[in-house]
Amino acid sequence: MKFSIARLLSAGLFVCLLNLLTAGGTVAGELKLKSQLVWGTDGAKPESKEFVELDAKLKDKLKALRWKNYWVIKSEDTRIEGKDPKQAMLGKCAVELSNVGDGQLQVKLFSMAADKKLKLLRTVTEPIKKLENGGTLIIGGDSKDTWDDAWMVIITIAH
Amino acid sequence: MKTIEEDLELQAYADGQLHQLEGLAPGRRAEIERLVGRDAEARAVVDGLRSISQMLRANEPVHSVPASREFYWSQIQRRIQIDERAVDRAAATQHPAHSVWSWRWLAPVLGLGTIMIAIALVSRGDLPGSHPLGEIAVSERGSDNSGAVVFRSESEGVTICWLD
Repeated sequence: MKFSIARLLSAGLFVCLLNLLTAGGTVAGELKLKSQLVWGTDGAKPESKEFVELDAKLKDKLKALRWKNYWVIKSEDTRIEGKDPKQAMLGKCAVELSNVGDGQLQVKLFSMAADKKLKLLRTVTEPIKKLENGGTLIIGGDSKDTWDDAWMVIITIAH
Repeated sequence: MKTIEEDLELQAYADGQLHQLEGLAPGRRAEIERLVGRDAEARAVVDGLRSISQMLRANEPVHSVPASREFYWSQIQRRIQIDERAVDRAAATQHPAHSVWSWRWLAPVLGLGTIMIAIALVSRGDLPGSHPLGEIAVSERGSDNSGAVVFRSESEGVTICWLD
């Protein structure tokens, strides 16, 4: 069997292309994420000084939601490596973040009961690539404490 | 005076088909032969029928084929072969040899390339449905099984999962 130089080059190119394409889809290394518990309201700024206004850029992304003000109640940065899940405690709730492979971030949202026990509310997956490209994942719901207000957990890439 | 049955028996006798008559009594054939021998009328009937039969056989028209059977079928076979060659030539004109050769190589290369690109896009999560659960999936594994409304804005890069 004869192996011409052209054939060998073609085979090499093919292998390189295959590696490039398949390796490009894997997420290697660490991933820094920012989790924020945010209160959405049409009311005035709360008295607690700990609450800070949501970043303007992020607020601009919440155009789909109707509230005028968004106050950050708790914020936490999380670094996840490999497939080990990491938790971010956000006051009355918590999120567990994990890279489940296949380019997907899994977010488990827990509520915290009075006895500090966590109760799983929802599991959501989102492409990591989307977050890396400036995307935002929001898991929220209507507030049970205050009529017409809302709470939400906003997850973005930490800078 | 002969009966109808005797006429039928005489006709069958003239045609040599007396044995095929149903219900013919044993010994009846010998009786008919004796009748034809002694009765002039019966003999005249038999002779008349036989002469008509011979005349018909002698004057039966014969249609002859202008060519022999082998030659006739060989003509048909040749015609079929000519038509088949014409169809082959037409197909070859539509798909020249180099076109067939190029497609033989181009089709697998294009297929392989498409598969590789699809694998790459799916693994990067750029394709909708690249994840088994879709671009965004709301799992029902939570203890609260109520539903959720999912809103996604591709232009803003925002995914909102709003719980009930």
